[in-house]
Amino acid sequence: MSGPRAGTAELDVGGLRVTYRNGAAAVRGVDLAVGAGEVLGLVGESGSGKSTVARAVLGLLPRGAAVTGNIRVGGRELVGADPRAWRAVRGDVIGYVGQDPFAAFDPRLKVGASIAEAWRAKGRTPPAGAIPERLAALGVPDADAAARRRPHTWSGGMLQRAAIAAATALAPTLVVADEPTSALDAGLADATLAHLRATGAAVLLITHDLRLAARHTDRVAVMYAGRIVETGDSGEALSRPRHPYTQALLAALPRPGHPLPEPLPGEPPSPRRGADAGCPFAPRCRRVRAECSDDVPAPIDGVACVAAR
Amino acid sequence: MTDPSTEPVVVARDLWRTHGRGPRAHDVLRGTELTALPGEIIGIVGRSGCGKSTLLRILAGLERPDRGSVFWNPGTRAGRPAPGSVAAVFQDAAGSLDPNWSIARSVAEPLARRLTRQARRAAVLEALRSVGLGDLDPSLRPARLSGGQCQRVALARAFAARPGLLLADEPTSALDASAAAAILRLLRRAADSGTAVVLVTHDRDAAAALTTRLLGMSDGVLTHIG
Repeated sequence: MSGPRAGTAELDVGGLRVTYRNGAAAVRGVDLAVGAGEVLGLVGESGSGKSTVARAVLGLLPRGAAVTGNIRVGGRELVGADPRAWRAVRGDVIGYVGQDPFAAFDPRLKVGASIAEAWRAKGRTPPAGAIPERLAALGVPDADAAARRRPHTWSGGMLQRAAIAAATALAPTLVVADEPTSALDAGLADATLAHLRATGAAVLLITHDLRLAARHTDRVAVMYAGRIVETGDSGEALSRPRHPYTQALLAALPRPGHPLPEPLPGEPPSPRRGADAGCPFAPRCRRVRAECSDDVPAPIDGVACVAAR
Repeated sequence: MTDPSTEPVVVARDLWRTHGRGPRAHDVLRGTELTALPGEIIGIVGRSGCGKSTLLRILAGLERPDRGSVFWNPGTRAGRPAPGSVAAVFQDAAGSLDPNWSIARSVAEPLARRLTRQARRAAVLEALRSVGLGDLDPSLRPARLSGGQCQRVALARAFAARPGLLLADEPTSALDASAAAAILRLLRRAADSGTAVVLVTHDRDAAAALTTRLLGMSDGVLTHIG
C-alpha cells in the first residue's frame, strides 16, 4: 500500500537522524522511500524537520551536523560520503529545485548560460539546441530568445521552469524540490508541478501546502517533531487521515461557507529538547490517553499513534 | 455619512500606474477604484503580475499613482496617510522584521514616542499576548522564530498602533495550515475591532471563508466576484 516495491526505490532513507551543531535534533529517525517516477510529498508544520531531510539527501547540511542512518540513492550509500562523492552525485543523480528561482540564478548571466552550468560543472558541454528545447518542453514561450535574457526580465513562474530545466538537465533519477511553488500563484504552481512530474524522475516534494500535496503527489509522509507520523497514498491519507496530527492539520484548512478554522493548540516542541519519553504530539492531541506518555509510538500500518489503532 | 463608523477608511479613485518605459512599458493599474469601510475585510485575488501588489503599495502610501487619487481618513494634507493609520504585513514575515532587532523593539517601533518606558513595555507585551505569543521571550531575534511566529510578531507590530487600515499581501501563503489558521483569525479580530482589512491572496478558500467582499483583479481593473 505505502512504499515502492523493495529494490525499486531511487531514494531509500532508513533510520535517519540529524543533529545540528547547536544540539537541535531536527530529524529523529526517519524512514522513507521514493520509487522511480513517483512523487512523494513530505508535509508538516514549519520546524518539523522536513527541510532538514531534504538538505541531508542533497548533502547540503551545515558543517558540524551529525548524520546517522542510511541515505541510499540509486542503491549507493551517501551517509558518510566525502564532499567529492556528493559533488559527483549532485546534478548527475540528484537534481535540486529550491523555493526562490530568483535566488537560484546569477543575475549577471543570461538564463541559458546559467542552465549550461549544469553541464559545465561536470566538465561537459550542453548539446546544441538542448537548452531552448528543454525550456520549450517546460512551456516557456519563445524559448530561444528567452534563454538569451537575464533572470530579472523573467516572471517567477517561468524562471522556476528554467530552474527545473537546470535541475533535470543531466537527467537525474531523483529530484528534491523544497517548497518549489511557494513564490508562485495557484495556477502557476499547478503547471510547475505537472512539469516536474513529467520529467519522469523520482521526486521528493517538500511542501507545507496540503492541498497542493493532494493534487500533485502519489504518496505523502506527514512529519512532526522530527519523525514521520503517517504515510499513505495521498488520496487516502489526505481525505481519510488516521493520525490525530494529520486530522488536525487538515481541519485547520479554511473552507468557504464554514466558520474560520481553529489552529492547533500550542506550539510544536523545540528541536533542542532532549530525547522524547512519549509521543511528542501528545500535549497538543485531542485523543491523548495515558499510554501516550509511555513510549514514542512506532509506525504500524503507516500510522505512529496508539489512539489510531 | 456623518456617522464616523461608516466613513470610509480609504477611497481610491481612478488609479492608473505604468511600469517600465518605452516598448517595455505596461499599464499595471487601469482606472482601479476601491473604497474600504471600517470593519470590512476585502479580499483581492488575481494572477501574479495583475497589479495587486502595486495597488497595495499605493494604498499604503509607499508608491504614487501616475493618475488618480487616494484619500485616507484621517489623512494629512500632503495626500499621505497619517502616521500609524496604515499598517502592512507581507508574505515574507521574517523579511519584514529587522533581523538585528529584538521582537520587543520591532513591535514597539510604531508606538507613539511620548509613551513612558513602562507603558511601551506593557503595550508590547499586550500586543504579543493578543497574537498568542504571550509566552515568547521578547528579547529574541526573528531568526529564532518559526515562520508562523514571525508573521504573528509582524501582526502584533501592525496592531500595536491600532491602524484604521491593515494591508496584508499573501500573509499566509508561506505558512502551514495551523499557522495560517491563526493568522486568518487575527485578521478577522482586527476587522471586528473596526480596522478595515485588505487581503491580497491566491488562496481562494481562505478569501471566501474570511472576507466580506471578494474582488478579482485582472488587467489592472478590480471587479466584484463574491
